[in-house]
Amino acid sequence: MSVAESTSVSPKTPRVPSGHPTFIHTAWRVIAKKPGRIVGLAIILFFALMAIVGPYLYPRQLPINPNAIYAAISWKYPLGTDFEGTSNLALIVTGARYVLFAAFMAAIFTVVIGTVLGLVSGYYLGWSDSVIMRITDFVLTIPGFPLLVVLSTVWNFGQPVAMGFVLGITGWGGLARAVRSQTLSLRERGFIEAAHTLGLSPVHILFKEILPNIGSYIAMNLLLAVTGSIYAEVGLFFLGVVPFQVNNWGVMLNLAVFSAGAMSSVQALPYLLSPLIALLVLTLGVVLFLDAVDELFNPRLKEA
Amino acid sequence: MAAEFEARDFHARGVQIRNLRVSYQTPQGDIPAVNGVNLSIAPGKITGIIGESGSGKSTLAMALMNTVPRPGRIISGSVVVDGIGDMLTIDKESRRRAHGRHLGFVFQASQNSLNPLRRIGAQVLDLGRSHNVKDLRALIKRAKELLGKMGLNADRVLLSYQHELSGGMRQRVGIMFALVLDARVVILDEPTTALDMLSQASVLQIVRQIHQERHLTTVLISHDMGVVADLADNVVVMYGGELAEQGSTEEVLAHPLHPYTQGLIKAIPRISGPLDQAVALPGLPPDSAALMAHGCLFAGRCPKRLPVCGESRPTYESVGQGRYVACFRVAGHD
Repeated sequence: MSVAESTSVSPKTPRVPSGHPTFIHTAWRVIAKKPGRIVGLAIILFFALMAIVGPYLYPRQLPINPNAIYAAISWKYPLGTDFEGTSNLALIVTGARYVLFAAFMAAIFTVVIGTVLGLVSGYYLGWSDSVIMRITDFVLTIPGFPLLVVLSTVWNFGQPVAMGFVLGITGWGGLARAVRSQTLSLRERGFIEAAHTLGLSPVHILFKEILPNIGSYIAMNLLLAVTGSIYAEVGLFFLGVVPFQVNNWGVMLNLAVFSAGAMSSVQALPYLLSPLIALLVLTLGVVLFLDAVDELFNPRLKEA
Repeated sequence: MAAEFEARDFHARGVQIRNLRVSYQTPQGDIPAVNGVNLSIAPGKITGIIGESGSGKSTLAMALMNTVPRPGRIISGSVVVDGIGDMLTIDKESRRRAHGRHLGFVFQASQNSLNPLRRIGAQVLDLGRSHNVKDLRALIKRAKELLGKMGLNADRVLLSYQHELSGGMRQRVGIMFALVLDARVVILDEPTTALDMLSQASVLQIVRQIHQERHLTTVLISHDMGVVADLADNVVVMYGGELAEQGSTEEVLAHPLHPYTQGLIKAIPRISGPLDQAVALPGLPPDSAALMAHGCLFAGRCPKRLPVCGESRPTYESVGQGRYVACFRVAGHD
């Protein structure tokens, strides 16, 4: 308890946390703690990589082979072939970009709109809260899926961004409500009150004090929104309500069921199963990785 | 801005509170929490504000900063801080800048007043950035100096998260935050309630030391007569949102004039002597009905009640040098 000698030590640099492990470093430590998280991360990265480089691995027009229609699983066709003798693996890999990019855009739209509106309405309250929450209620009552079906008649979903945008703007309602309620409880916490009396700016309080405290929740929602959006868009293509312009997993499912008769003939089964397995594995990866998100954002859990 | 930050004036700042009214809007109607308070806080002195729970002392402190939380609302009055102006009428941005820079506030539960996700040092920098401090390096240095003075290992504390510090340490960090921008007026809202006796003693010691070194004007809010007696130059006794008595600490403790103050002092248990010498104050703090009534707020519990006490409220009047009291029993009232 003596008056510390360190008072005279001149500060080296105003960036206080320097010399401390970076975010990447601590993030890796958190993820490496459980093998499930590594597997989850590996799966997510694998699919992300597939979406980025996949289309470059194959010619623009995938080769067809009339002699290998609905071929069984073999070394040449690891996932079998479709009705034209095109490798299912090639279809999955080249179709990943549209599916994942649209889902990613949808998740970003959902999370950004939901978070910002939820934060603003929970923090400022008053008339902005009333206005935003009424809009939120309205959005919540719009059935997203049928709206997509209707929109697809007038809108061309050949661009994944368009698909992502529509999925995003119909899906943020629930998140906005949840973020608002978390903000409402956080704004009464001591450190927010203290931030007020220390004269910190409202923008700082909102985005530097409150937002990080719901960061893990938002990150989880981001990941879940990705899987949710994948189901939604694949579902749309499966139902065939969106015109097929590009090859993707939903198109494969549709053709497998409605054209190839995969439900009744064993031959076409690999054609049906390969997109299903891709979806299953990706979902599994997301779920496994979700486990790490909470610890990534909470310094107290990080050390435990 | 930087120049302003460096210029350290050593003129302590006083605070003048005039006719301050704060009420909480509830479904039962507006409950006055601070009711027509007039108070001059002497520059360079420690002013202790004492009262039981619900007497409005914390609300008064928040009103000083103009940060009364909803559903509370400042109805009328003025809080003039020397060199800043009326906290209740200046624009939002100047008010925000005054917080932290001119008016430091230490919370009752500094335990909870730190962001759990950021290191203390990062929070000091946040504070500096929000107040446009150019020289963040000097700010960190100042924070270290303050922490060192309070007996903490400054380097370690700045690199810690809130959960890595003990209660006493967090309270000291809270004091550091209130002072690091060189605030001249510091309001401590029950700074020692959550601490054990030893931490309490050391925090009080620090408050006194820093008060003297930096020529601060300190407002100490407490329900603990001992803490106030130990530290304050002047004592203000609050009851039911109004001021009951005020004077220098020695005067008020030695010759309490208001029956409520007398009761408070009688209720303090002594270290020596029989325990039953300490007489608890009978009755309960005034409820909303009593607050609305015309009579003296304390009439219901007062052992020296007069017929007039139930009919009208005594005014808060001067009865000597810096000495005020609101009681019909005291000379000066007719």
